[in-house]
Amino acid sequence: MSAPALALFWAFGSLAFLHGQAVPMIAPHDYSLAYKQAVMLTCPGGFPSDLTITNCDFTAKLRVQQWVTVSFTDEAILGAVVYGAGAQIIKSPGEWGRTWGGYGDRIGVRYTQAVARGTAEFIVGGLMHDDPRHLSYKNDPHTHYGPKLVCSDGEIIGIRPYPTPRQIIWKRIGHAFVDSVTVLKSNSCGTGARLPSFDRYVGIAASAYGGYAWYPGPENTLPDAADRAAMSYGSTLLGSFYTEFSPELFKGLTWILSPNKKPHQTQQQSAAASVKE
Amino acid sequence: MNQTGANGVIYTLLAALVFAVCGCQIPNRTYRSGIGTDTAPVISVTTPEKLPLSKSNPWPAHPEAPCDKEHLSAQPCLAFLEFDDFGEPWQRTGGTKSNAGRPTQLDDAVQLIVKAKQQDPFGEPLILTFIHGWKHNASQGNRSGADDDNVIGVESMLNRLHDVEWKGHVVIGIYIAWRGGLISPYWPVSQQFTYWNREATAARVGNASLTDALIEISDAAKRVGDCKEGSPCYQSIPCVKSSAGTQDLGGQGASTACSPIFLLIGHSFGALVLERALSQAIVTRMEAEWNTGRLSEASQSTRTVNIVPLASLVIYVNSAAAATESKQVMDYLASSEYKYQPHPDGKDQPLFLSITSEADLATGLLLKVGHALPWLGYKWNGSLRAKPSASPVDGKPTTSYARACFDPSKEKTSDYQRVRYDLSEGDYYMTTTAHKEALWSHTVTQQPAPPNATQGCAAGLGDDIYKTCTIDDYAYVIAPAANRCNGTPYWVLQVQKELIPDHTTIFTEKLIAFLKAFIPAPPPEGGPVVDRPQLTRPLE
Repeated sequence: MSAPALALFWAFGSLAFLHGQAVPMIAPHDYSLAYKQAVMLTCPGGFPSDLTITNCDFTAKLRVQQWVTVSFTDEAILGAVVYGAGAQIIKSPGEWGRTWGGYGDRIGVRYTQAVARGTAEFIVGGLMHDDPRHLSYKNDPHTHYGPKLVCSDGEIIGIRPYPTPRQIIWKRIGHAFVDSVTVLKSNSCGTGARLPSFDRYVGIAASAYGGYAWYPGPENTLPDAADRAAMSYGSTLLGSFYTEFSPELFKGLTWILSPNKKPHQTQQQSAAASVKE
Repeated sequence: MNQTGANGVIYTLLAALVFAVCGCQIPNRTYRSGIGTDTAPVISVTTPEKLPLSKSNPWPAHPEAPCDKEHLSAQPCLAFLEFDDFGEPWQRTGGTKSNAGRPTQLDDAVQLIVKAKQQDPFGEPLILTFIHGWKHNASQGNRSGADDDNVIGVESMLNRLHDVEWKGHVVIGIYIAWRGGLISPYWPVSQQFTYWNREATAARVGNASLTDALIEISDAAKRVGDCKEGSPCYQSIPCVKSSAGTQDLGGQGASTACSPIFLLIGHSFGALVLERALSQAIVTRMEAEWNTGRLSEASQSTRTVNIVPLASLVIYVNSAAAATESKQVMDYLASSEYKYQPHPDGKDQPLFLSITSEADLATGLLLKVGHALPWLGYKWNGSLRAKPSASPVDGKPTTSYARACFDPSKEKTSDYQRVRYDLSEGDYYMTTTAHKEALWSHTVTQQPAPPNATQGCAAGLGDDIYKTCTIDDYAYVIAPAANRCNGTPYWVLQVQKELIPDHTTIFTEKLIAFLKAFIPAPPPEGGPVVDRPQLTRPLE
């Protein structure tokens, strides 16, 4: 199997559960009701003036939900089935034939890896009390781009706006890499410090180790485990890039699929022209 | 076959089956019956002290407290009306008394409306009725903040309206719930595949029971005589007059000024539910009132019949209903030449408002995916009528697929086309009303707001602009769409992502500020109360 094909299947498999990786940016409300007249709470990536936001914490409920969906239920199963199909086509590992039995092994190993990674991340992330959701450069509370909420001791002090920086594209690409290896400390303002994402490191290691029980002996060398860890990290990295560039991705998709787009602009312009008149 | 691998396939399938059967379905049940562990069907909406709330400040109390109906001015209340998978009310009153067999939650909601009317100092409370969409219900979580997102959203909105926008008035909410979610969010992939099932359910829920509930709520809101001596509303002169029966409601009579602002809002599939429940009822009512009213002397002199609408405004936000749902109502309004120009300035106002976001991918993009397969079936069966290749002869009957047009501002223009043949039935089915540019009544243009611009909406100077709203950094100019066919009171428009960022984020200050441009304004505190506007239709 050629390298481009390998990359294609890997990317396709990753996309299959990207939505699950990019858990919604807005934490559900820890308490009923929800607004503040002076400065409203806006979680990173949230919409300003959203009345339903009271807390940006990555709550225990969210953490459990993420653990269950990425490790056990249909999202984990779908990921295993899709990635397994990719591995089946490229016949990886070579010891397993292109048979139903071989496909079963490939699904099984990936499901096991998902359980191992998800569980490790759940435990370590819970201990760290981190917020593992990806953030774009603009939504990151620690970058100097866009309006930033200033919090102290869990209380909103104000909002500090920043203009668009120079060479934004490179900053965004760099941020996507940084965001894949770091997380925010979870707090009610969503402005926690950046920490190394130990939960992901442990999760990736657990995922690589989780395959040991399934893979044939010759595949269980350290370099092979490192390959599997790299693949596991690759899905995280792809998730981070997806978060960073999804607005452009959807904008392009909408433009391609919507025949209304062009006339819409024209009509808006004509309305603007009529305003000027 | 490799035995281990075969076992892997079997175990995976078995695990999926066990998980699916054991715990992924959200039960078909009521959440707000007040029986057993269910909370009261009418609750008090409480306010937090400060944001962000911390764990050391676990407030407000959970479960929610029942509504204190004697002190509605102090706090908004929210009533729940729940319907099952086939659109029947969950709860009925038992026994042999006069209200036996009646939907209990509906009776509670009607009582709440009466109390709200009595306790508002102007007799003009705000009644906000909301129908939720896909993946939602009326569930109350086991702890503070674990309620359904939409319940929290409506509560937040009621608080905002009570404290800021409708300050001084009583504000109440009615949350109409159905089984919007079928699969637990712990099964996110399976959840997406409930689209077709829930769409069919939404169509079922918008049936006779819900229509009856909406009409009863509307009638309770508009009914005269609820303002009794000694109630706070009795200080309002129009309320006293209407309570004495000096104004009638039907036909040509003016509607009472002492009646609530009654808003009906449907979101996503909730808009489909609402549209299904309302369409036939509204047409029936309008026709009946027009037929009654045209015999009156007043109609003979003005050559128009005044009709009291069912609600002050019906809003479909990010509607997930295909445009086929609205087409027949729009045709009816256009062919009957309805106008809603309640103010002396002669400007049109909406009775229906279908508003969507350009960034709403769920209804803009995914609806097309969801409707693709049924569309193929309809196409195969020959159910969908095509648009004609050439326009039929003017003035002759035609079977070509057409839509009726009406634009009050172009009534006197000789070349104004009252019928168009530009869309096929399939075009309507494959999109929502507000995502179809040809159906837009208005356009919304976004411009950077001038420095130090006053926040809020102001009427446009000429006929070209309805209103300009300055909301945060942008000014939104709402203007009639160029060369529009739809100039009826069914307004259709699409807004920018800076106003509605996606499909679900709708409970925002920005959207409230924008929608205020279309909602009949309450009288200023202590100011005079004006007559409630009405819809007009020509005699012939």
